[in-house]
Amino acid sequence: MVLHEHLQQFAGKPVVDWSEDAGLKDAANPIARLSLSYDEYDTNAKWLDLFAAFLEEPDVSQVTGIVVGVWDFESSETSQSIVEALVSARDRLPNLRALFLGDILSEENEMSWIQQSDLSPLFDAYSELEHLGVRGGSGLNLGSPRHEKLQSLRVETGGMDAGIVQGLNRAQLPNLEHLELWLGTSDYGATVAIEDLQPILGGELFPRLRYLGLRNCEMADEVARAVASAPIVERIQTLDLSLGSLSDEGAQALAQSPSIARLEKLDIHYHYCSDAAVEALRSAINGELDATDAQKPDGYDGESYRYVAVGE
Amino acid sequence: MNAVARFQAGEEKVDCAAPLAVDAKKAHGMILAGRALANMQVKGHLSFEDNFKLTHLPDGLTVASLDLSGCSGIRELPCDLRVRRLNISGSIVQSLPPLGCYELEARSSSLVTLPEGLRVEGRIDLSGSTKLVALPPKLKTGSLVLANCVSLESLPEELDVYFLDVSGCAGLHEWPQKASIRIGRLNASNCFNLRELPSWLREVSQLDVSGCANLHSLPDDLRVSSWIDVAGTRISRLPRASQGVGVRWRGVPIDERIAFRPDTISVDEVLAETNSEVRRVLLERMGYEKFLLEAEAQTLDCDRDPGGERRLMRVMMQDDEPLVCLSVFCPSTQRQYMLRVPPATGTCRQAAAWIAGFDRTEDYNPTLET
Amino acid sequence: MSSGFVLIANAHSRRVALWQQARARLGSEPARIVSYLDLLCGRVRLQDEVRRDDVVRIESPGRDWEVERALLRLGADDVETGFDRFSHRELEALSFEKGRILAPRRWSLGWNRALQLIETQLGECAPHRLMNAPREIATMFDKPRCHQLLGQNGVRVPHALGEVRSFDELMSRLEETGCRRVFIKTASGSSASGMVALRVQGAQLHATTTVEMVSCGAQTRLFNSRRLQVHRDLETIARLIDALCCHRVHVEEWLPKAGFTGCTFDLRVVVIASCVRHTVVRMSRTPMTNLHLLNKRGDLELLRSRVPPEAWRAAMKTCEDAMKCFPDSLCGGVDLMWTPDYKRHAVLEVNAFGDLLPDVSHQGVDTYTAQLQAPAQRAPA
Repeated sequence: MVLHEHLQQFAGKPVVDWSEDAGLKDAANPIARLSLSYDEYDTNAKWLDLFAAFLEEPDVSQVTGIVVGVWDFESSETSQSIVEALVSARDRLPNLRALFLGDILSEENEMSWIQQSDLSPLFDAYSELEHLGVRGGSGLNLGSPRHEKLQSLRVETGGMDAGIVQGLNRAQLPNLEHLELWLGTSDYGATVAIEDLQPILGGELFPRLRYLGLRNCEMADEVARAVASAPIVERIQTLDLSLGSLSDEGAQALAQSPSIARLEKLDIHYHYCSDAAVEALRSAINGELDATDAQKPDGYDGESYRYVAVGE
Repeated sequence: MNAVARFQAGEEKVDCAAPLAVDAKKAHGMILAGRALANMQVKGHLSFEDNFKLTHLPDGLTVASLDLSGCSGIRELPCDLRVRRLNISGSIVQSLPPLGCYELEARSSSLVTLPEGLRVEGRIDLSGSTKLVALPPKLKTGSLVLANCVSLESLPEELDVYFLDVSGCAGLHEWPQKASIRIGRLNASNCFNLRELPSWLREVSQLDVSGCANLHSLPDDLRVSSWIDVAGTRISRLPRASQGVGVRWRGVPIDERIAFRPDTISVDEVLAETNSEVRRVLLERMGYEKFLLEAEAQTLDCDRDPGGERRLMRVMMQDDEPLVCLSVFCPSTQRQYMLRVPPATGTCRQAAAWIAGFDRTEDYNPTLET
Repeated sequence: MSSGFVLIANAHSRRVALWQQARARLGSEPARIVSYLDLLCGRVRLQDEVRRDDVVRIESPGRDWEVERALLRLGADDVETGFDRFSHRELEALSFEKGRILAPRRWSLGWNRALQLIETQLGECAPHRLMNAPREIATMFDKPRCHQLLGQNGVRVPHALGEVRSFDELMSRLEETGCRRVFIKTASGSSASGMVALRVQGAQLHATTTVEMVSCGAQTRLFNSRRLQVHRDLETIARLIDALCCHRVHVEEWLPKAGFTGCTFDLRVVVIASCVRHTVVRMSRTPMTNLHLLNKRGDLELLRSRVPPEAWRAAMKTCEDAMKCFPDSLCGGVDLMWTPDYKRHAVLEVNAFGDLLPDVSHQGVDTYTAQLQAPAQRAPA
């Protein structure tokens, strides 16, 4: 479990909690976080009340980013009403460039209990959008987005449905530079198979990709093997396989890859590799290697288990 | 700055001078006791849910949200009410003043129409408002929910929304000449009287026309970016501009082939499908008759009724209840029917009784089955 | 001239050593120790040990198996039906099992008896000053009572759902109150002992716990474990809660905790003579933030720069207010948390012996020295 702190930064800007009392001080600069507090939730307040008040801010048209936090402490409401509200407010938010939906901590809700919805209308509603992030894979749908300006897409789940990746395989995102997918575990609904990832790994789908993150993944070794020989590695600068169950097997595949050396950064932090395997990787790449937070497999009833970082 | 924000900002100075900023709990009591002053400003959220004593609200009331759902004593609202979120679901409020608010929730309401000049920026939910017959022209809001508004026959000219839900609006038979539904979603499921989609519908993310039995096709230039639900329609292909879009069958994501070329579904495919929801769609698309025949179903029972021979047949399913069907011949239509019955059914007689709505076979003793 | 100092404690405990260090540092004569075992067995009486003008401090009786047994023996007669009961013979046959949640209900009744004994004997002693009153210690150990006292005095605490006697009762209480996330902890017992964090969503359950169940015939034995376990199936969770309920439990809403530097945290705030003194940030990657689970400590200064100043001030005042509910206790360890937006804080527990923070200093002194230097310890009642 690593989700213990709200986003401090998003899209390169600081994230600041917005409240009606404090108001919007510098509309264009920090990213406004709109989250229902536990106390407000007790008093019949809804996230939409917060958003409605936010839209009344005189400078709201200058807002460049919104982070949506908790909208419900009982996981009974999906994010659909929030997506609808955001789409409906598009004329009021002409400068919106960054949006994160579900900055919700483990303490606030289980990641797999966050009820997401179909986010695809957001792509058409906000043509200036550059950064989109979402947490929670339950009920999530992204469709097959077509968007000229989107630079980064970050999808954090405890278990990703193959439909998400299959949809992205038909997407048209010519400016996408950062693609981050938390694949999760089958216990929490992960159905993504290596074949589903092939169009992304082929490198042609997102021609401007610089960062590829396949994180929090229970089949990290298989993913590492597939990535090691994939054309995408020739194109990107950063490969992020962190928070997963990567072990020596995957690390060796990476170390033997002829193209891995050219990476500027390889991130495998939170992993299950031996010191020797980490050293082999270190000598294989010229760039930076983040292999911190090494884990020990959990032995239980004679079996050994490697858990992903956010298995919930 | 809006009124609520203004009074909140000035709140610390206010003590006994008017206008009074009152917290929600106190305001609740004052309003019910009839002691509330005009122009009262309330901090927080006022809820009178299911209250039958409330008959009037003070003029000029300002509050962040007002919940009058289920209120059986109040028919009218003050014309200068200021509220961001108003809920009159299930109440007897019959008409609204021309409010400006963010969200109007009026599910199962007694409203017949909405006033011209009403401005709701975010969302209007009128679902189940069965008396609703008309909406004002040029109505503009983010999401408009009219589900099961069965008396509604048409939508207003120049309607402008991102999300429209007219599911179950059985009376709806035509679209406005000019209107806008874009970016979001159109849910027109179970609108039996719709024969086409409007030509001005160009680009939405999601389209649900399931159960529109009279819908034969979708406009070729319609672009849907996420999914289309086509269950129970006569649509035979996707619009040209929506090739590759997700296809759903009553909410279950399926392949385009299953929706439009059911003849290609094989018994092996049905049996190999691990997702039970998808398997049910496969079965439905293939047809029970064809499936039972090709799957070499086991005959559990066989008898005769006035229509002819009846057969109870079963195919075992992995990780799901077995498929048990009664095959009957209907004399009035001269057709063989296959009807699915509960998996534990053992005889044709039990199956026929269940279909007729009886749990116990003893209660079922028809003179002639039709 | 400094007064004499009497410690009622387990003679070889770490706490005693720390007190002695503090005495020595201040140039005072060493504390005289009255051991619990001697006291409980009647081998010594406080009347013979406490001299005029002495300062008396009651210490934790923990971490001594013989004392544990003596306390369990003392509590044997008070246990109500429905809670853990075992015979004298079984008790004598018990041997130490690491981490076992043996009989917290019975233990706490025994501990109450011991505190009563101390109170009675102190009443017959020469005039002295007492650092912590037995009755207040008893209240702090009783989680439902302590919670109630704090709430009645306007101290912010999580909403309590009262006591429940079974899993079914817990579920119907959740249904009635609409509360979907709770902590279930043994009503007496320290820190994360016997603790379950439970979330409910529709028919889905999610329990995180430090308690390990070991089946022993028809009986379920409970152990505190350092390995956190997660359960999702109704049957296991029901068995766990039912087993815990045999020990009397306290249930309160689980407020989401704030986090920083990749962990959630709460604060242990030591309040001495009505003032906030030593503060420790307890970091965790689990819902349980208690130190004995080997969680690391966080950077206090970094945290202070993160928390809005007014939120910090209000929370510290709450800690002091919490200790005002215990006017006859010089010192207490208040566990305090914030919600992630820092809009709300709450006191989770008040620990009678929450001053064991050996390497933490405030204004240059440790908790023990600070207490010895504190002004005007209470005169005898």
